[in-house]
Amino acid sequence: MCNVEDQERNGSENLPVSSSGKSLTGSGCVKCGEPGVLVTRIHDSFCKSCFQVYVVHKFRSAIGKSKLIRDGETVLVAFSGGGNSSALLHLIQDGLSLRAHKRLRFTPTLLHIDESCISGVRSDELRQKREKIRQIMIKSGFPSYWTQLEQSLNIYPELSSKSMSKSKSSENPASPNSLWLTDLGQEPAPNQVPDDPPLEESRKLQDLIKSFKSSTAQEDFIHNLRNQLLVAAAQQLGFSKILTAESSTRLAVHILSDIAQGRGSQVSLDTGISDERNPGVMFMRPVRELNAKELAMYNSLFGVDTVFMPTLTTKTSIASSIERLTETFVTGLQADYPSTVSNIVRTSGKLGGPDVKRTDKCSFCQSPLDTDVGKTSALGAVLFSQHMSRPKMVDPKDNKERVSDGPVYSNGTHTPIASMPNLKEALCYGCRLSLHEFDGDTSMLPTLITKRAMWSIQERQKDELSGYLLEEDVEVNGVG
Amino acid sequence: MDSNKFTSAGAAHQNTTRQSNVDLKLKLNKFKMLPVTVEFSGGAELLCGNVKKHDVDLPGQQNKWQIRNLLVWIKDNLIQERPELFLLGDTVRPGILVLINDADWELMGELDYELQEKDRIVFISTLHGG
Repeated sequence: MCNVEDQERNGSENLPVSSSGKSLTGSGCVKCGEPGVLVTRIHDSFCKSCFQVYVVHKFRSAIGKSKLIRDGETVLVAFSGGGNSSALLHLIQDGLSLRAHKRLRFTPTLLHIDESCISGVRSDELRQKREKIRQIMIKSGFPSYWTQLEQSLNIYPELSSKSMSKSKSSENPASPNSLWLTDLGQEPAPNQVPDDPPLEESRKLQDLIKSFKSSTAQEDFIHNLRNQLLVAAAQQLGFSKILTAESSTRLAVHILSDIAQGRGSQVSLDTGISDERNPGVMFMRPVRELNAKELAMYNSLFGVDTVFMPTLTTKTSIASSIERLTETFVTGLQADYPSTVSNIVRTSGKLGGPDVKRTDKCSFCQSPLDTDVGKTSALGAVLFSQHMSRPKMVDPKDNKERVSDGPVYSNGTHTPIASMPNLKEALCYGCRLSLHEFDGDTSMLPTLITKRAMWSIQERQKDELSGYLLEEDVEVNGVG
Repeated sequence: MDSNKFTSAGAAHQNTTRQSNVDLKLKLNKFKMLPVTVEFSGGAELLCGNVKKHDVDLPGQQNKWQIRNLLVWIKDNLIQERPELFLLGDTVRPGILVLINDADWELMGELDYELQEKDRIVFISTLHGG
């Protein structure tokens, strides 16, 4: 693969047309010779119609090759209103329209997560943007749902199948697992601007996010929170697949920043065509073979409406977080070496993923735990030095007492509160690093994390206990 | 010699006045305002007071307006905060697309493109968070 590309590149460099950036001026489309409108890949110019064919092909082939979507399946499309997801929506609309050569065979439903609370301000401008996103969703004609990032605090996790069978008796039968999701098509007043999220919940979420000391950890936390909300919403609405619109540029950034943030074992899950780490719900990335420039050009050439929502790092310095710094690095390199992004993405495609069927998963991001490594590992060394530098904070006795209280909490009468060292036991290395930056109280964390962590710790204790108390297995189950 | 010189000088003088009139006209033409449309999107508009579309008259100047001059002018006149998020050195920050009349600027000569009247220059940020 690499060789082919090198040859291609060397070959094209020998041609007088594209020996330097400047001589591209006025060069025609590589397919049909018409005047080009953009340059993509390595110095290839395209005209508008050939570019459309190119983009549609990349999108269709990503869906076709993966063979993940069955005929007539309904899928949830995560629609933020930004450039990438707007392009994805347009491509889907185009693929479903009658003029498409081979019509797409799935039925999409849109879901928007309102994240305007992150910026901490409520303004008419944000309200207008929300309204515009709502209009775009309604205009698409697809069933559309609207929710708010605040809802992620209300996700009530379901017990995994393994623990479900064991502790069904103690499960609260009326688990309040319903998120606030507005069906935009069913709304009584179609002209109503989507409301601001409830003030109290917004505050709660803002406080939580602010409790993370670095914006790197904040971004990472929000990213995982959003994914979990998407999964929970998909489960509630009965979908098993979610389409997200990460471009290859975005994925290349994620690959490098994941590695920098201790998520090396999750790279292939985070950036592959599909991500099956969440039980029952699969993420798919159908535009992963198109880069940011191609998608932005597509929007511009075909008049696709996009709405820009400010994020955490908007207008901050280019080094404000690891992700932003990595993005600066990748886009800078891409400007001089147009094959940067595709090289990074293709290299990561060769990485094997962890076994997603494993039951020991991170209580937050649901990745298979990567922390079960020996004492002589890097992680072991980190833990040891943490233990040495703060001996008083980790009091094993205290922790054990708290955990043994665990089963009482699972009756649903109390909010489960785990101490931080315990909580971290149930998290993957990347989430541990993020939570290391967290200096708030563990009770501020979403129920989603604490509940799952408690369950996983109980599971582990049961397993440990059962090694000693084989005969009293029944009793252990009765407590759990 | 002298008279000759005088007459020729007179002729030269007449010539120069005619020439300078033409020059003046040319100069007036050359120094005419250049109306162009500059647009920002994808988050880049936030640096320009959150206004996406700017219809601007570029002041006349002796040399032709190139994109490289336009960038400086934008930095001085349109960008209100954090110019380093828009410009890097004398060009735009990588990750910001430049479209000249709906075509990629890489096909138009990038910084060397000479602006024409009523050109539409669009800057699209493809960066996450603008």
